[in-house]
Amino acid sequence: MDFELFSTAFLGVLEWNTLLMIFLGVTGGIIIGSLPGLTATMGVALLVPFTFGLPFNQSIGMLLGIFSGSIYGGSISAILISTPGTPAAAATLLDGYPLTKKGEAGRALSMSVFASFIGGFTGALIMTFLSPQISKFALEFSAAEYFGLAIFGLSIIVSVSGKSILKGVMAGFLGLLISTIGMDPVTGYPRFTFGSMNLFEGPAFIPTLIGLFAIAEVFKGIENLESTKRTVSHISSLLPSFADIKKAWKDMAKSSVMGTFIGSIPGAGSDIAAFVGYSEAKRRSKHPEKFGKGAIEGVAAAESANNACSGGAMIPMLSLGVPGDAVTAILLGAFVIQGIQPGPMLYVEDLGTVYSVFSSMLVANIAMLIVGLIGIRFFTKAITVRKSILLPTIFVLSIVGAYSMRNNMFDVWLALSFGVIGYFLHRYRFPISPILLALILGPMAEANLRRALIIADNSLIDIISRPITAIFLILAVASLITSLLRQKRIKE
Amino acid sequence: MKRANIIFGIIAIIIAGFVFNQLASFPDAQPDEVGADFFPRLLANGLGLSGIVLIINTLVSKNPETDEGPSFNLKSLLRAFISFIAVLVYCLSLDLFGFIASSILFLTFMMFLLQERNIIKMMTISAAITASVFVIFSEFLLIDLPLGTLYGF
Repeated sequence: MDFELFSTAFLGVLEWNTLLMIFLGVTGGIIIGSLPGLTATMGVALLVPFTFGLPFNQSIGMLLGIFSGSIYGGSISAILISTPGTPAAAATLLDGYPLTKKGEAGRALSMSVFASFIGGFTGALIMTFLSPQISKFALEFSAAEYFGLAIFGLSIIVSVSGKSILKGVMAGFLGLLISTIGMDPVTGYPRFTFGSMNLFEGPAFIPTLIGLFAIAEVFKGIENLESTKRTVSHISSLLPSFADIKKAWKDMAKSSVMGTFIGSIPGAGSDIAAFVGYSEAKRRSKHPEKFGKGAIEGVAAAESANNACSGGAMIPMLSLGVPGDAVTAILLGAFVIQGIQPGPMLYVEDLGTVYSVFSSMLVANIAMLIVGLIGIRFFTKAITVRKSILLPTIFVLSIVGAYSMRNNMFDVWLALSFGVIGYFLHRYRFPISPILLALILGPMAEANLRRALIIADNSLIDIISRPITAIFLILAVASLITSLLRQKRIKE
Repeated sequence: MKRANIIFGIIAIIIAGFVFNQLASFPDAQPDEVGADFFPRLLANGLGLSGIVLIINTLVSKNPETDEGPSFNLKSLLRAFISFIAVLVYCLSLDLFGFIASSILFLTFMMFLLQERNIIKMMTISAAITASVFVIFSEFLLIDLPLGTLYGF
């Protein structure tokens, strides 16, 4: 590490016009991320053309600002209206929304932005110091390891099932079955698509999510209009309390490291990182029964993991030229347009550029913390609006959000159908979280198991005996057993 | 809750049966290969089996969870049902009347359904929400919201 070159690059990022672009990017990213249906990928894609004419530092600063801002922004709607603005915030709603229902939206939001900052900053630091080494390790991941990672994530289905494990398992099976809709990942055969081109890639994730959470929640709110009290959130401080930080710092630290690592594995995105971070926080907690009911550690773990993932995803993109996810794929394009070719040679030929990227990422996370904290009072105002105005508005936002993914009415009908399904499942106490988990991790588990079986000549033993896979599977079994024992103890 | 659990158990079995029926038309996998039907078959087995267990569990269990049902208030359920019909009509009208007109009408109707009674206030708020959503999505984020085939768009 050339510290002199790094400090020169860092000072370059601190120039006022670069800082301005970073702040603009972060603000735009937070707004885009908080709107249901608009993902970080879409945010970066939409704003890339605006950065073409800018000098390198400003252009990259703005793009990384959007990237960081939108990942955090997704948690705002997840916490306030139970709709993750981006898939990365899906795990945040599990505890964020219950906190809002308790009148603690401000507490959830301040922890969310703080944890996002810790995760994002840690991810950026790890990226700065360890990217070539991590890239080499991430390349060790083959289909078998991805399969192990997915199974570990799925193992928390039991623990997010609430009162009835059986109903949780049924919801999990239903979610996994829904995730098999679309083209078979190995043979390309269209499964359960009924000839509809719209289903070839499976039910679009965001409209499904909007249906299961936002629309179902609105139906529920309309049904219980008289019985639901208006939520008023008290904000005593913009920063999370010392007690909350003390409670969640270990989870934040662990999730940040795990998130960075998961982000560095090409194909494993921030949604997966958030669930793995959440799952690990719940597994290690002394009070796992509080998770899903408004545990601040749940918000902290999910948010630090998904933001750390953005730093992690930059690692293979910069050091190998292989984007870790869709956003970094677009960033790769933006780099090329700026005349920079990421890859191993970049570290040899143009270390100054690499350090500029690292510095921009670090500063973007500080900017995210500042803008996020200032915005909390404004965001929490949203839920003090009367239910008679708020519920129809969420309906319209949900419909537009579902539509905007592909400019397609099919996705609107999909969201509405899942809204009705979600409403009935919720009414009869079937947990929705296992479906969410299954939709994210199901395709990863199936595709990688089958690829691994092909590679290993159908020998399951060969797959599960690979060291990294074995560790994930042992963790999954441990997580299952502890959840089952805990449920038994609660019932007794 | 007992009846609902049994109905959900039966629905799970029906879904599993439907999946099996669909799997019959899937192409055969190579002898030494895991085919496209492997995962759905495994999951349908799991879903069907857990449906059966739910039914048996509900019939034999004395667990209070199986006895308590959600509250059944006809007025509230009717309101939820009307809102479902309203959102259905709203989605159907988007193409024809466009986002702006449909949204203003939908929002005003929904506010009325949710016990707002000041018509001027309702119309003003509906128009403001519609305009804000339209400007953000259509102008800033360049998403083509339907403008209405009725007006020739």
